[in-house]
Amino acid sequence: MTGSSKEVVHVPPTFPDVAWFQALADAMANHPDDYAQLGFADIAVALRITGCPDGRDRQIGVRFVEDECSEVAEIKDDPFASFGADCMVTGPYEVWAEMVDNIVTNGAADARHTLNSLVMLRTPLEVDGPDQYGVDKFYRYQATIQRFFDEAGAPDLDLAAASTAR
Amino acid sequence: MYDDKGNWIGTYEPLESFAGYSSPAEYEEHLRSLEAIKRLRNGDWGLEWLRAEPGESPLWAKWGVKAEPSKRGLTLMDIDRALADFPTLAFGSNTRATRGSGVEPGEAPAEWEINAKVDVWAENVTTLYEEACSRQWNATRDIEWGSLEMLNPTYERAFCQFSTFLANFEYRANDLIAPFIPRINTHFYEVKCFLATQLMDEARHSEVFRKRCLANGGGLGMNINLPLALELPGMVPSYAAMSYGIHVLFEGVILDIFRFGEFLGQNEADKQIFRLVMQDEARHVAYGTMHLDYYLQHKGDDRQAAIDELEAFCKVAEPFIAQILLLNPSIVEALALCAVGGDIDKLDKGMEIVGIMFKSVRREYLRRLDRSGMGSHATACMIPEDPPFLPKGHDLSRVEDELVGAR
Repeated sequence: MTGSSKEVVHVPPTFPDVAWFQALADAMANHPDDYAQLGFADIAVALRITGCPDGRDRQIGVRFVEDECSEVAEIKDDPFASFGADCMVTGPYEVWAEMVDNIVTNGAADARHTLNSLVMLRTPLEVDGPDQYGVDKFYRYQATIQRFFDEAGAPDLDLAAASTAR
Repeated sequence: MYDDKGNWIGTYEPLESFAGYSSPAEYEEHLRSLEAIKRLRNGDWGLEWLRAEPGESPLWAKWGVKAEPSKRGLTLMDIDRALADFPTLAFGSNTRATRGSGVEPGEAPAEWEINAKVDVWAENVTTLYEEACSRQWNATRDIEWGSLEMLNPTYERAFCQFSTFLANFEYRANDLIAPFIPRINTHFYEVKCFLATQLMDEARHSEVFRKRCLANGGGLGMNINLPLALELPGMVPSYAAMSYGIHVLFEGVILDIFRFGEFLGQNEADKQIFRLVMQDEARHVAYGTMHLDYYLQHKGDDRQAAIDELEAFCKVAEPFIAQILLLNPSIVEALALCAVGGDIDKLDKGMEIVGIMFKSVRREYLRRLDRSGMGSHATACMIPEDPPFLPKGHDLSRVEDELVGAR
C-alpha cells in the first residue's frame, strides 16, 4: 500500500453517554441464557445524572422487555411522559461515576455499590416515580437491573472508566 | 351412569359411596357392577365427550382453538386471547370446571365462598403469574454459598437473628394465605395459581434464610413470640382485607426490610439472597396493590363502605405489623448492629440508620395505598411517622449526610 494512512483513534464509550449504555445492552444480548435464568422483565427506568463533567444534567432511559434491553435513549423531556418511565433513579455524577468505576474495577458492584444499596436510604441516589407501583418495579426486577449494570465490569467490554471523563 | 331413558348423566357418585368397602375384593366387585365400567368392559363406549358438538353441548365449549406462542413462549395471555375467554364480573355457576371447559352432567355442586371477580381480581394477575414462573429461583443452586466468608462474629450473630426471624415469619404468610385458595371459584384460576406461586416463594424464603443461618459458622437465633399471628386469621373480615393485610401491608413492610437486608449484606451470597427475595416480595405487593385498586374501582355504591371496612381493619393490622415486624427489639437491635458492621459501640448510629428505614417503610406503604385508591391514609395510619425507638423529632438528616460522606 502506498500513501499516508490516518490512524483511527478508538474512543471507548464513556459514562453516561448513550453509547455506554448501548454497550451494556449489547453485552446483555450476548448473554441471553444468563438473563433468561433471571426471568422476564418489563420496566422502563430513567437514570438522572446531575452535574455531569460538561456541566449538564443528563437523563438516560433504559427499557427492559422480556429478557433483553430493548431501548436506550437520551431523554430531553419529562421521562415519565416522554419515555414512559416507571421510575427514575437520580443522583449526582460523582456517585454514579464511583459506582461505575467500582464495577469496572471489581468486575461487578461490591457490597457498598449495588444499586439497591445506593438508593436504600434515599441517599446518595434516590429512586422515585409518579406512583409507588412504578417504583416497586425497580425492586421487582432488581436482579436483572443489577446484572445489566455489572456488564460494565466484563473484561472484554471496551468501556472507559467513568473517572476518565472527569 | 345413565338414567332410565339411557341418557348419560355423568360419573358423579357421592363421597359416601367410596367408603364402607371391607376389602379390595369387595371394592373390585362393586366396580365391576357399575354400568359405566360394564360398558367400557363390553366395548360399548359412550364417547359422549367425543361426540359432543362444541359450543352447543355443555360437554365441550369450543374447538379449533390454536393459541400462538408469543416471544416468551405460550403464555396464559396467549391462550386467553385465542380462546377469547376472560373472567366475567360475577360468576354464578357452582361448577368446579376450569374456565372455558365443558361440564360433565351431574357434577357435584361446588360451594365456593368467593365468586365475584371484584373480590379477587387484579388486572396484572395473569402476567404476574407468568412472571412468577419465569423468575423462580433455587435456594440450593442459585446462591453463591461459596462466597460466604468469616464475618465479624457480632455481625454474624445479628445477621443470624435477623435471618431466623425471616425464616420463621416468611412461612407464617403461607399459613394465612393458603386457607383462602380453596375458597376461590376456579373461574378465577389465575388468582389461585398466582397465590400458589406465592406459597412456593414464601417456602423458598423460609428455606433460604434457614440455610443462611447455618451456612457461615453461626446458627439459628431466637424465635420471636408471635401469639397475635395465630389470632389474625379470625380477625380478617374478607379476602380483600386479607389481601390488603398480607400483600400490601405485611409484604410491603417485608419488601423494604428485604431491601434493607441487601443494603446490609457484606458479601455476594447475602446480596443475592436479598436481591432475589426482594423481587418475589415486590411481585406479591404488585398483586395486592392492583387488587385493591380493582376492588375499590368496582365496588360502585359500596366503595365508601369498602374503604371504611379496610380502614377499620388497618387500625388493627397496622399496629400488629408495626410491633412484630418493625419494633420487635431483637429485630431492631439486630438490624442496627448489622448496619454498623457489628460494632456494638456504634449501636446508637445503627439505630438511626434503622430509623431511616422505618420512615421509608411508612412512606412507601402510604404511597401504595394512595395508588390503590384508598386516598390519603397518612393521618389515620397507625404506624408512627417517627420511629418510636428514637427520641421524638430526632433529626435523621445529619445521619443521611454522614452516610453520603462515608461513601
